[in-house]
Amino acid sequence: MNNFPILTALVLVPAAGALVVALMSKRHPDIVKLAGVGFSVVTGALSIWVLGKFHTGGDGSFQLVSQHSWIKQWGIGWHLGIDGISLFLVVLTGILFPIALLGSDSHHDIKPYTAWILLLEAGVMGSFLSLDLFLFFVFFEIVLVPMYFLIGGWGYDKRVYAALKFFIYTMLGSAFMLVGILTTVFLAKAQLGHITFDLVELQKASFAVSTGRWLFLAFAIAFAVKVPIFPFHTWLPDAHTQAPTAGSVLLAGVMLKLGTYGLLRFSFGLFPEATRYFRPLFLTLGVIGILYGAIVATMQKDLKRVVAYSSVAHMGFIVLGAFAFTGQAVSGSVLQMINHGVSTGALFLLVGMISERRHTREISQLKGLQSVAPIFAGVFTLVMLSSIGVPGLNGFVGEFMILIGTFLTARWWTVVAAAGVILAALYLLWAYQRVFHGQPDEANKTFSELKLKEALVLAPLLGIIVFTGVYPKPMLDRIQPAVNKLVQHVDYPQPQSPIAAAEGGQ
Amino acid sequence: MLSTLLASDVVAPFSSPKIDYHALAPELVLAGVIVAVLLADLFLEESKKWVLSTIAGFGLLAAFIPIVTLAVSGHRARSMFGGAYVVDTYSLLVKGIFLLAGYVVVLLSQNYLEEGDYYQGEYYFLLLSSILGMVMMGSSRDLVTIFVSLEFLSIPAYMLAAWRKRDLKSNEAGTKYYLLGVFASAVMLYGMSLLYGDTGTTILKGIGAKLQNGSMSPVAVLGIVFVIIGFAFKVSAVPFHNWAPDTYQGAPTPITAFLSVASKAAGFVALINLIYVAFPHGGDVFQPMIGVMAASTMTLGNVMALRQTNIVRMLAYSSISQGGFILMPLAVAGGKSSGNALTAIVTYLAVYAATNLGLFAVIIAVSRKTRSGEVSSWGGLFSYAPLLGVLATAFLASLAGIPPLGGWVAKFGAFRAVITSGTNWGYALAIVGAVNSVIAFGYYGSLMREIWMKPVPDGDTAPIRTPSSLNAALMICGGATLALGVVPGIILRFSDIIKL
Amino acid sequence: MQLIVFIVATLMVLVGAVGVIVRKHPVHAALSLILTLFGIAVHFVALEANFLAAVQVIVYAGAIVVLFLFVIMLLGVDASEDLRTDPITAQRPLGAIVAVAILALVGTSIIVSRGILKVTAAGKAVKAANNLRDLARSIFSDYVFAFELTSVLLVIAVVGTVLLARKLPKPEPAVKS
Repeated sequence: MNNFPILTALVLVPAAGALVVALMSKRHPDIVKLAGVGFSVVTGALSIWVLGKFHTGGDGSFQLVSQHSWIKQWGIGWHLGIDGISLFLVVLTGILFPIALLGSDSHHDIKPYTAWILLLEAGVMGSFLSLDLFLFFVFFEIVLVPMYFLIGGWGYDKRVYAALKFFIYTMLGSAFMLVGILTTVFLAKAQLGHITFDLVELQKASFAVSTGRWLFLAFAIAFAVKVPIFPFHTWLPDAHTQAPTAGSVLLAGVMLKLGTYGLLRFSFGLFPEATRYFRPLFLTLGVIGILYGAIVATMQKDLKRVVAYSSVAHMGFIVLGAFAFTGQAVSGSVLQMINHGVSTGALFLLVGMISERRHTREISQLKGLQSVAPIFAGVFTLVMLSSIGVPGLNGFVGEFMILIGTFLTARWWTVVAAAGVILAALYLLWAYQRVFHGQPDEANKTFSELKLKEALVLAPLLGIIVFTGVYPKPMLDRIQPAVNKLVQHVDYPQPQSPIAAAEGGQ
Repeated sequence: MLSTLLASDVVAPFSSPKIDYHALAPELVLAGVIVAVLLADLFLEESKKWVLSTIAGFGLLAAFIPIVTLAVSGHRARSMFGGAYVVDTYSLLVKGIFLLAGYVVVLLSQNYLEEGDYYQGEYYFLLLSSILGMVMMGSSRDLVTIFVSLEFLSIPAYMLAAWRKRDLKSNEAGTKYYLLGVFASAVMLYGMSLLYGDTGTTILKGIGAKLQNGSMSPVAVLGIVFVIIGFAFKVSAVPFHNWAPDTYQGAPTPITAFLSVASKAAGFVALINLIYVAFPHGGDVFQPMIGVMAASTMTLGNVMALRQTNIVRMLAYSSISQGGFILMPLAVAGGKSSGNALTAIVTYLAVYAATNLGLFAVIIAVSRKTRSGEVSSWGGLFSYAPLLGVLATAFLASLAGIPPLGGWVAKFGAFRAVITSGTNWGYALAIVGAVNSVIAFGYYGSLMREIWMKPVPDGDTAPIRTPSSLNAALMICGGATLALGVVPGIILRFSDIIKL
Repeated sequence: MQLIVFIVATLMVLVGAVGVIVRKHPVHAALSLILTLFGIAVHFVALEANFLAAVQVIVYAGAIVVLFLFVIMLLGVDASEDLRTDPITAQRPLGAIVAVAILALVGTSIIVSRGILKVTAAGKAVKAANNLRDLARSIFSDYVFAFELTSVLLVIAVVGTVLLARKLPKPEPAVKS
């Protein structure tokens, strides 16, 4: 079984699942759903298997590589590989998809719904695993299509508008990336002597300073829209609020990570000089994102919008950590991507459950849920605290590492960003207080308690939240080699401060 | 006077030109089929006219056989009539595209004609003639032959556009197409006469040898400009595009499909022949011109398409904008990415043919039920005709350039060509193209939205019955669109070796 | 002498061409066309292309314009149509500007390249007496393919014309699009 192309399987199993589901009869929705869950669980199991096979330590290079030629004339290949940066994103994807499928209901047309979600999973997996620029682009684009249909077909009132806005924004970004990719490849051709889209080979090429900077921007725009980095974020609240629950969970959980992952893997990997050059810009935008997201979240009336804007803030932290260029901050960033996926995913599931029961997400309409549904409130509290970053839960580890690591190279940005931590506590606790505390009025009295099925769906996420918070070492051990390699590649002057001591403390 | 002319001094005896019948076989087969259709029509009863479409369809496939035999018999270019007619790998490839596209159009026409009570014999006669003109265009390497081929493919098309005689819109379509087509021909002829006057030859290769960068006379420059403008009409490039929407909307739908795919492709083939063989050193003249045309064509086509509510009209503008993308690589032809540009255009033409014909097949199928051309008539298509809905989505996604459907290969090739040129022009064009491919999604997406997200108009969810010929067309186009996207090697291995 | 012939013939061509556009009565327009076509025939004669001149007179000025006149008479279009309505505002002034611009462009480029254009060796070899033979020779050797195709083109034109003119056998069903 050692030669089993497990990464290829990770992409092809959900794709095959989408095909199988699409060909099934729509008269038996239960079987369709079962098949969909089955395929996504198999994919999840495969991703856990990958986790098991992944070698800890080493020099942080790609593992389990699977490489075949696809379009020889253009040097495009099927090149998949995994390293510490993508490993946990893949696992997160594997876990989150079955949860999203189980934890939400499509209400109508379950067959295309399930098929789109599986296709989305294939696209996301492919994006995280691709080591070929073109292959990455293909998967990056594939991701858009199912999401567009999920939002537009199964979302709330203004879904069609939100879907189109989402699509146009991200497409516009990727249009620049396409030009960037092609230019990169053809400029590199002169140096490498042959045409190739292979990331590993392209990293050997170096670009003239100004060319590199332009190319960096072309890539960065696509990723900045996806993250979203302020000021490209305006599609996000609309898409999140209008998307069906599963859509929001997946959008926040894995799709936003495509942006930060892309920045780390491609922008940093290909254009280290430009990355250093644009560092202040992105640090600033990250900090603005943190503060802006937090402040706007405070003012929202819709619970889902609160969570959506909290995403903007959290992604700001991830960007901040990534551009700090210290091993610790970047590791924290990678870890925080997982954390955000888990806790925001769980938050969206919970908000989805509230809106299933009450058919509204207006904070003013909800009151006193704690007294009628204490377990539900307990779970919500745990997830919320993780999102705020309370010590002992996963969010703390990531944010703390980012702040410590960033402090070494970007002191003032860190100081401002730290204020965002406080604001996060403010808006989430305030929202919690309004929704769960007090005496329930007539409409909220009948709010039902967390069901066993819902609890089972949430259980793995809660487990990850607590486990990562208490014992993050196994994850960090796997993340760090790849991150260190990347930090060396970017080659930013490292501070002399006691990083080692801080790392020991983790 | 005539007798004195004939009796004048003794001259060298006339030697008849050498004709390579193998190289001309596709054209000869096609001509035979055309005659067969015309004769069969004479002797067939009204109820048996369906035989004609069968003859036409098989005839096109039969003409494909010599193309295969020519292709396997080596890559040597076969040149005839002093270089006026050349059969090489490039011409074989485009001829193959024309014949297959023609075959699909025949499939599309079958039921449309039978149920609409149109003249069938003449229809297929004219359709095949037009295809013959396109096939000849692939090999034409001489101004006169190009002109005759152009008229050969255009004149039947004028009449086909006006085929629905009782419909005023169809009359308008035919008249508009005819008048502007003739005008374009006149402009082009003027350009050709200037070129001939300057270089003293009509053979493209000879013209190419005479026209050198820097030493070109203003007259020759004017000739190049006029000839390109003439073909810009044919490929409906902005600002010579305004016949297209009206003609496409008024013509019978299979003919619209034919015009927007095959006829447009023929225009591009002619442009390629001219630019690559006759003006390879005229880059200073045609590159900025075509560059501006490409940028404005895709932009204006897209912007106008966004505002349409009629599907065929929307596709007319979409096809204008796609034409801009096909022009894009031509704008860098002659530079160092000449070869890439040629590959890109031919690949684009093949992919575009498969996708657009498929989309028109869906339109014909759906309008069999809805009897409407409005975008809103597609509401909820997926819920009552899932296969058509999925196919339509696939074709639209391919036109938008979303992998893994064929469209991305085409767009990729076009971008590759402009970017490898390494000029600022090229980069600027690439960015315009990239932005446009996003705008295009605005209207492709709105059709997809109708299919998937909107309710069925009037709640009429009766399934759509598609005749077998239409099914065949859908399957051919769907299969080709997917195959070209997933394994683009099948077209690239051909389009990479072609040279001019 | 040559110059005078040239000027006269050119005037005929231009006056005729302007007349075709300006005259509102279709018969007058058709007659103006004859003037143009005849002027071209004179040019041909001046260039010693006698055969072409004859063809020009017989086919164009003769047959084709006569056909035009037939059609005009048969259809009874003797009243002039009002063409004063402007579908697009400022269409006419814009059209005039474009026309002048193109004329200026063509004119300048011809004047500038006056020195470059020369009679080529092949042109010198052509003798007026050999007109017909040379024509036949090139039609049946270099251009034989295009020539043969033109004949097929005529068949297409015939079929198409018959079809457009023919009455439909029975009413067409509801319009599809």
